[in-house]
Amino acid sequence: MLDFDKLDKAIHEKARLGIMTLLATRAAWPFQELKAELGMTDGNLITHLRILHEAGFVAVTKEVLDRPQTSYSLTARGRKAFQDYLDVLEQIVKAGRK
Amino acid sequence: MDERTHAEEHLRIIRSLMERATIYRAISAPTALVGSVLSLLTATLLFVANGRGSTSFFKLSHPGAARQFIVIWLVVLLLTLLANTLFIWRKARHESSAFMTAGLRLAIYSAAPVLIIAALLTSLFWRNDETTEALPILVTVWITCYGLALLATANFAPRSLRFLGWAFLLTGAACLVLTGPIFNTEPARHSAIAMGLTFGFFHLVYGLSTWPRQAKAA
Repeated sequence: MLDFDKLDKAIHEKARLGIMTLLATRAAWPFQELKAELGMTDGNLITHLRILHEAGFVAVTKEVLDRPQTSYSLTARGRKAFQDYLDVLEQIVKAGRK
Repeated sequence: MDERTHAEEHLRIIRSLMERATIYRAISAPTALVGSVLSLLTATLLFVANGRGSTSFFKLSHPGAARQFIVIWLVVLLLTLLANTLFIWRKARHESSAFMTAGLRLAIYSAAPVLIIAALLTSLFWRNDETTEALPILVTVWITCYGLALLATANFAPRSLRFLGWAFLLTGAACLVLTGPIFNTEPARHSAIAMGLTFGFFHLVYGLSTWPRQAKAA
């Protein structure tokens, strides 16, 4: 029997799921673009990014172009965790149809 | 909410976020409206100025007509690009994001090849110092290449922009057929009509129809 216990708790939260989804669409996302796309406050976004970073799913890059910029990207582990998460969701949907 | 419904809801969130993140609107509604107003005014001016017996400053004189025509529309293009830069800069400032986003970069890279070809073809008309008889062909090149440039962004563009691209491309194709039998009777005026219809009217429809959606998303 499939259930939500199989889902990764670090990802299975609406805000963090949004962050992981966006990070999966591009190589890297600047902090400000993530914030604008998700409509989150600085503090909220930083908190969720820290949790994902501590779980080893998100890498942080700091660089100075015309101004300091922090970018976030998925690590190989994060990409696999996101793919596994999608697989479990798919299995739950399929099992529910039977 | 049962587990299946819950899972479906999460998949819906993922899908909608992925679609939003990978779609880029290369032409915003305000830019389209600025471009359309300028194009309609210019096209009307050229149409009136090139009537029989007109001595207007904007009447295209036979030798050098193509150069006059190119300069006039180049001014329209530059003013529209200037407005577009201002809109992008304001949006970037409002969102505290970078001016050159990944979406903008991708749109420029995708549209650049056909726009470079359009610029080279235009330079041929300039170099040969063509007369008014060449204007329908020049206009056809511009309309067709612009349509192709919009369609080059089709993989990540919203549906409205793809429609706009097809409208330009099909009108460009129609102009190719009409060049000769109809276009060449009054080439300067007919070229003005074609520019007004496409860069003016098409952009006006696109700008007005996408404005509410874009304002809601902002």
